[in-house]
Amino acid sequence: MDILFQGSVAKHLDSPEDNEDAFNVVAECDRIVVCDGASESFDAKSWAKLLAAKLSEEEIGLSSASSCIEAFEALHDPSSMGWAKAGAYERGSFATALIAQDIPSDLLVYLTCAGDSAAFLTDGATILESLPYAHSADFEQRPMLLSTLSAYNAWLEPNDTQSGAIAAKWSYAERRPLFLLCMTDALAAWLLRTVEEQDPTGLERLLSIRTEDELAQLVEGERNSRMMRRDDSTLVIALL
Amino acid sequence: MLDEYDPRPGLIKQGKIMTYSAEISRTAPTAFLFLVDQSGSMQDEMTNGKTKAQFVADVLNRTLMTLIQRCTKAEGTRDYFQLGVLGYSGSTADNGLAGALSSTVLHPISQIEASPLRVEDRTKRVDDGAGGLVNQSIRFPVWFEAKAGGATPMCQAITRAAEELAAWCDAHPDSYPPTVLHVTDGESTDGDPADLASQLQHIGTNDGTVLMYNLHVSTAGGEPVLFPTSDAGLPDSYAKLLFRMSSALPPHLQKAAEEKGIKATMESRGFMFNAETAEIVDFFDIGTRAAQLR
Repeated sequence: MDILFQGSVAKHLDSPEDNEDAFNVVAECDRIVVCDGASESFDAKSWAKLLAAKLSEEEIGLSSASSCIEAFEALHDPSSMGWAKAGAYERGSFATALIAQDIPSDLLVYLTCAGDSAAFLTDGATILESLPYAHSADFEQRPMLLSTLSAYNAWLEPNDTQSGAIAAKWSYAERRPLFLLCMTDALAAWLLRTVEEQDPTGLERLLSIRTEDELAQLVEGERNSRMMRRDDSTLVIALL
Repeated sequence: MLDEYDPRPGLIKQGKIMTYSAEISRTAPTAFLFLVDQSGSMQDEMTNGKTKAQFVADVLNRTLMTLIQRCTKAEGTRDYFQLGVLGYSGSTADNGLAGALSSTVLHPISQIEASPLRVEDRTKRVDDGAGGLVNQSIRFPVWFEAKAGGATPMCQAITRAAEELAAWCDAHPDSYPPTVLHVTDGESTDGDPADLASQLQHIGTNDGTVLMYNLHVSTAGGEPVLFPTSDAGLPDSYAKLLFRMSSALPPHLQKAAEEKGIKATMESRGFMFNAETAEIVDFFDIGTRAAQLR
């Protein structure tokens, strides 16, 4: 796959350091990882970064989550914190994770996601596949997230009552070229809303982005017109 | 006239629809103002052995702690909220926070975090993971002291709240509007508060008018009434008055109530009658859930 764009815009343009999204594009492995740190977290930024790095090599699951928790715990010492920080630390930090793994030899993309970071397969005019949601309203749900507290990650273990991370396999054997879009929730909800309103320009505008300034311009414009939720927004565009 | 006032969220103010959807951020914080009845009857004992005043103080302190922890990140406490407490008894309504917080009623949450009166070591019982309970030591900051004595100057309290929040809304025209959480166990002794409560709920920002929720604390043992949709089942004129003084719950708070197993619809008012310990905890928790925390 060819990466046409990768970038992220913070929820406030004047505070890029507060961006709690993290992403990793491993070109040599045809792998894209996008993580979105939850706002109400002690240190969502570090947590999302650790996950994005780990999931560049491993799959979403209890084992990779445990490794990241160890690394996260090494960053902080709650015993040296005041009551407010210690309490916030104990409440946990949370993030989504999305992995898109292209297998060019099979003309297949394997996807896994925990939470509401989203992937879309498109021919440039129509959205052919989407994960995890197909409707903009679905993004109002409270998704299951990866947590720095192990007890909150039990849902990752599939059993009779829970399915674990959501997985999908998309083929691009029939039609090429196709675009693979990976993004965080505010951008994904906005894209689906434009599709639902039969406005083709949303997808066209996203696909034309080649610089972070262009992403910032689109995102900030839509935020200001209250069409897009103000949140950190990350986008990766790949040509399959 | 009360009948002319529709407290349901979504009402139109100066031609604009109030949505209660503003993003809450450090540049556009929201405010929570707690009005606490400290009259003599708050000295009555609840089923858990604590006085109503002591239990309400504990829940309020814990609510402040939780709000602070929600706003605290590795680098510090972010000022998403401004908080204040007005306690009323005798013939006055006064700032319920003391020490460094005594100069003004509403404070950025980082100032509240920095200025508890003291931090106590308390013990809580937690799940040991094997079906039992174990004691766990926790640090419990205290800002608000329990106090009970004298009359119930509810009108004074609501008037003072309106003054504070009118100024706050002028300074924060685009913020999610302030929320007033009012805790009482008795009838007003300085007049009928209905019109004052109505006026308070006319104050607002571009996003909506002040939300006022009322909690009636009881030791009578009656069945609690939670977020009623009408005053039909309420036992007396006093309960009906508090119902009328209460704002409707915006959709995100209806959802928060439903998550706790409390039935709530778009007609539900933010009012609990005959609340005992569990309901008091739920009232503070649901009432301080603001949407779109960023």
